[in-house]
Amino acid sequence: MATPINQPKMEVIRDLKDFDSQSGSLLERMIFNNRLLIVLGCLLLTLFFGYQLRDLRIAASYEKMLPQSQEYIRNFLDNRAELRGMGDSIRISVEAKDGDIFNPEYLAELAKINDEIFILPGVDRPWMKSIFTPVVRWTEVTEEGFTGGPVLPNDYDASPRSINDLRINIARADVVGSLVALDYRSSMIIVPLMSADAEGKPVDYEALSRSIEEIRQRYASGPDAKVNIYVIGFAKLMGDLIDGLIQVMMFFGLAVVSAFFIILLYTRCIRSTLLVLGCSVIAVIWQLGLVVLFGYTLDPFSMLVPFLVFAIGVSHGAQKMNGIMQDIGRGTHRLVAARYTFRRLFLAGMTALLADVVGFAVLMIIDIPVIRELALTASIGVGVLIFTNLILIPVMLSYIGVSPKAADRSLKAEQAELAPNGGNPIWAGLARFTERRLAVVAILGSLALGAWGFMESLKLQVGDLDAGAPELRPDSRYNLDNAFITSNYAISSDIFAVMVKTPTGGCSSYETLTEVDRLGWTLAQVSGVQRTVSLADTIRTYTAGMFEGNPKWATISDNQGIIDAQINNAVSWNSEFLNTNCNLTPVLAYLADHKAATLERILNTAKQFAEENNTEDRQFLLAAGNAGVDAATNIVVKEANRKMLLYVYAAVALLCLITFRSWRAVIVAVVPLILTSILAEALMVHLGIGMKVATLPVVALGVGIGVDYGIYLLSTQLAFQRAGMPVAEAYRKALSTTGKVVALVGVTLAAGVITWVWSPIKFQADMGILLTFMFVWNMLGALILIPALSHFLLQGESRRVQKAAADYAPNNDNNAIAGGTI
Amino acid sequence: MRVFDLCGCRALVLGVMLAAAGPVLAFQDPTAVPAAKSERMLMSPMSAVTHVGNRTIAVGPRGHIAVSEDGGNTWRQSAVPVSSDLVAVSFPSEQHGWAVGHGGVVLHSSDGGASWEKQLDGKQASHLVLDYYSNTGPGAELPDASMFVDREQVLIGFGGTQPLMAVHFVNEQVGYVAGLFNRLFQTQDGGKTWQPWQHRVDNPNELHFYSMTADAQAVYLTGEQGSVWRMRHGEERFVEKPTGYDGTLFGAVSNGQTLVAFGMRGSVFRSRDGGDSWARAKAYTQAGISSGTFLADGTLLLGSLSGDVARSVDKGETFEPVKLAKSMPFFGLTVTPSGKVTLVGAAGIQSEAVKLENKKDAASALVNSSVSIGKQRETGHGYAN
Repeated sequence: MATPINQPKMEVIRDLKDFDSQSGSLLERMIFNNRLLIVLGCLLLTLFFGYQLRDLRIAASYEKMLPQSQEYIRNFLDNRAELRGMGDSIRISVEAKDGDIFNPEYLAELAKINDEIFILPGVDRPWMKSIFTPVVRWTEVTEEGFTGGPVLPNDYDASPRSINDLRINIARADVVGSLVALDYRSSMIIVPLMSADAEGKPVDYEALSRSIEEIRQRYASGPDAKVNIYVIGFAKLMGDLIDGLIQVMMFFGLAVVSAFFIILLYTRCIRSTLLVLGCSVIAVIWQLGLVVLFGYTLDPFSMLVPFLVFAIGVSHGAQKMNGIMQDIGRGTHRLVAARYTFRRLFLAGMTALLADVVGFAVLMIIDIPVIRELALTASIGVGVLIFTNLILIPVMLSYIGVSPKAADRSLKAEQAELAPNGGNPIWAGLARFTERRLAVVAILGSLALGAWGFMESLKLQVGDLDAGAPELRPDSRYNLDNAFITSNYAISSDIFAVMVKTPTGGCSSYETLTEVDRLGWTLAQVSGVQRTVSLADTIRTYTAGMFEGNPKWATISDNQGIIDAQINNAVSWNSEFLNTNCNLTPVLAYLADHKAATLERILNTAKQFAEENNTEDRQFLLAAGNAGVDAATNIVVKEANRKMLLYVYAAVALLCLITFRSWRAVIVAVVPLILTSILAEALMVHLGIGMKVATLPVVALGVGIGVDYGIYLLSTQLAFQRAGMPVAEAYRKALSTTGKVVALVGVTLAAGVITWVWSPIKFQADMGILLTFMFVWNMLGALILIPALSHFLLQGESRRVQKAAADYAPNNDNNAIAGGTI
Repeated sequence: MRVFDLCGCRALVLGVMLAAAGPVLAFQDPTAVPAAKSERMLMSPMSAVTHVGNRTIAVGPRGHIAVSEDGGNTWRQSAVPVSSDLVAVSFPSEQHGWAVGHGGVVLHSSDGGASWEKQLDGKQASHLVLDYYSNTGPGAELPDASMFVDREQVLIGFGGTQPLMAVHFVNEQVGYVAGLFNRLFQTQDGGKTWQPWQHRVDNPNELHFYSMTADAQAVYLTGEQGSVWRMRHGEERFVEKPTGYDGTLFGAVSNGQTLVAFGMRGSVFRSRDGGDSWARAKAYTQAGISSGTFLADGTLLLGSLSGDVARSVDKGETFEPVKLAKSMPFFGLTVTPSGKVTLVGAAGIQSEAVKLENKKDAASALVNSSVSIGKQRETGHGYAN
């Protein structure tokens, strides 16, 4: 870590002729004696990466949000191809605006919509189901045996007679609750999707989602629309997420504008403000270009990275500018000023950036691809900042300089800050926290706050807490549609599935079906389970059907011949509970919600059943279905959260120890962070945000970036202390030199992410809220708690030096200290 | 048979021991696994219900048996040594009752339904048949003995067991159980020993028996192809009394004056002469009629698989719908002396005091309900997503 005190004195050099261009480190000479090359290189790189951006794709992948090596997720991924019932599908409910579905106008509209959906690319046409598709049939047991036909009468002609036939067929086909709403005011089109289109390319969810949206526009909007249309399904959700992401991309512009005003307010110099912003944007272009080169896409998580890179870039750039301005204000030539700044800050800036990298890198331990990608791309982005903001900014400043007025103002402000009785009253107020009375108040207050926060944080729930699709806001169109469909049809959107694996052909044995039935029944007992469905239920129903519909036959017969006949029926009627080889059959539980407690209950019950009943020929594998995946993810998130906190604090503490070379100082720097972490969890409880994949990275980022404040303040304070000043004076001096920077960093970081609060994607909004809170609160914590803790822990640092170094010349190098924030 | 009692207890004890020892790896048949306690029992399917004294007893799938002592308001789940699907129940007295079902199980309770023991299962029943009609057995000399043995061996060859679908106990000692392929047993010692009775019924085509009922004059069996069999008390043979119908009759009910048999597709047949002659009622529903009972005043109630209950005040000639608070496919119904009806079916147990609707509205409501309820078990393989 740089210790500014020991740096050579930097004289004011007004004329370039007086400056030895061979002075400074090798790196400095390489950069500043080849300035044009550097600028040209950066320009070319920017063009190159900018060109790459044409291939930048926005995507939202469900799979990447799964903890890939978790046992249950492995089971799910390994067997997913065999789970027919849980393939991707879209459900479209068409509601009659007036009356019920049994009127010719509604049926005409439904027919048109049905036909349009049918021809959309990616639709698995043979299995599309609605009351208008021929696969939907009614069957009835008569004295002569089975009779049946399509639900839509073959001679349908919109006459009252044929509509009445349709009405009867709907009743006979038992589709109320699935294809027809319980209140008969809407009907459903179930659109199964192929995993790949005819050419083998994966189905474009976004395009499909757009086509359906366009159909909705045409039929369901305007004053003479006869129907309302509600759409749910994974593909639609992904489409909506991507739309949301595009909106979030626009927030970037907002972040740039707010950063512009913050920096301008700070420097009052338009040209250097534009330079800092420009270089930070360049960093973002490089970072995104690299994302493309690595073959990644922008997803709802990695989209955070450009925002962070930009915000960090701006705060670091502003510091560089601060140093250069003061030098130029003193009259130093702009090139020399740039080189002085580089000399003072390159190493320091790099250390600070490395601290950020630590925060990101820790995220790599979480075995969830989106978070790993976030960690990797963020590390790349921060690495890029070393070039664009630590090298390019000083080089560019050496060309364009700063406005003389701003430079003069900056110098005056600095001198005012450093005057014995001058300076900012806020700094003076904060400095009083080094006094015993206020220090005690601050520490006790923090303790109380921490204790309260801790009690609150115990209520923190794992997982998602809202109904519907947790990715989107509860009042989003998708979730409103989802609410409509779940309340009007007998389906739940939260499905927990156990996969029962047998040897080929084994899914239909009496033993397997009996166990499947037992599992279904066992799961049905769990509170929060609405109902369970499995092949066993199908066989029960079909067996009764085979025996004249006699309810006494609603059983799983121990006569395999009777079962086999029903299995044949199930195969020919395309049952979703059978795969081709008959070696995997799922037991589905429809849940009332996907709260962590519900998931944990059913998970434990299923796990216990599996442990007690697994045999070589019959494995009960957890867990599929969205709720099964959620349950597994919750397990990983809970574990990862603890592990990650441990790692990130260990890393930060180590970094602080290297920087300060004092364990007491480590405590002083880390305690405010811990308080913030605790309060962030309390905030999550308060806002109803669960601990989940999206909130995991927040804590690591908050701590990793948050420690910057402590490093800025404490390193300067310790430098002054080690130069002989007592704690109070050293802290006040540190404030007047770096307080502004701390405030600037806090504000720019917060401004960078606060726009996310308005994201249509719920978890992005949650991330935005939490990051903003952590950035701001870390800043406040640092400004208040560092002096208070220093009073008790760091008095020794001053005395030691005072005794040992009487000949040390304190306070004759404000310049170096002021610039050397680290 | 004492041996069977011991077998039942031993299986139970063995099961408990294995469970305590750790994971049970081998598959266990439902006839050997006790019914699990379930809080959802009252909301899950129940197959049959009966009333005796102040008790109402309902039986259903997975060994579920529920007993109510307050006319159906509150229920207690009984301890049952099997988790087989139970389909019929008979209580000749308040204390003693029997239940039968799949796996060929016969269960007996001597404490008013609170606890049950297994008296017979399908494997044992097969042996009874083979032993009885074999060359060395007591029935060896009967005309069809070798046919019964052959048939039983064919059935054993299919694998599995033969379910019992019907039970009726005349008193605490004498009772009958019946099932598929002409299967019929009689006991005279409260189920301790059972005698095959296949030779005591006119059933040359070996039709399945699906229900058993009785009145002051006789015991009746119903089954496939519109068949009703009658055995007057004191006789020892069931005589076929065909209705002329060719579909399955799910059940029958009699109050001594009127005998009503009912089955598929709204079929209702009535007889005023104990089954000698039948008249068909005009169908009021297309759904199968699963259950019925007579009230003390002679009113007949019938429950259907599409979830409606109809009432006849003219001895089964015309029917009117009964307004219900809730509906489900009904599988069984019974009535307390106070007039409270307990219905069981696909969604569990419901109790209500049945009221007659305004006649005109009622007729139209019925038409609607037969369409709109739409949950016909007969058509249970519709494309529910």
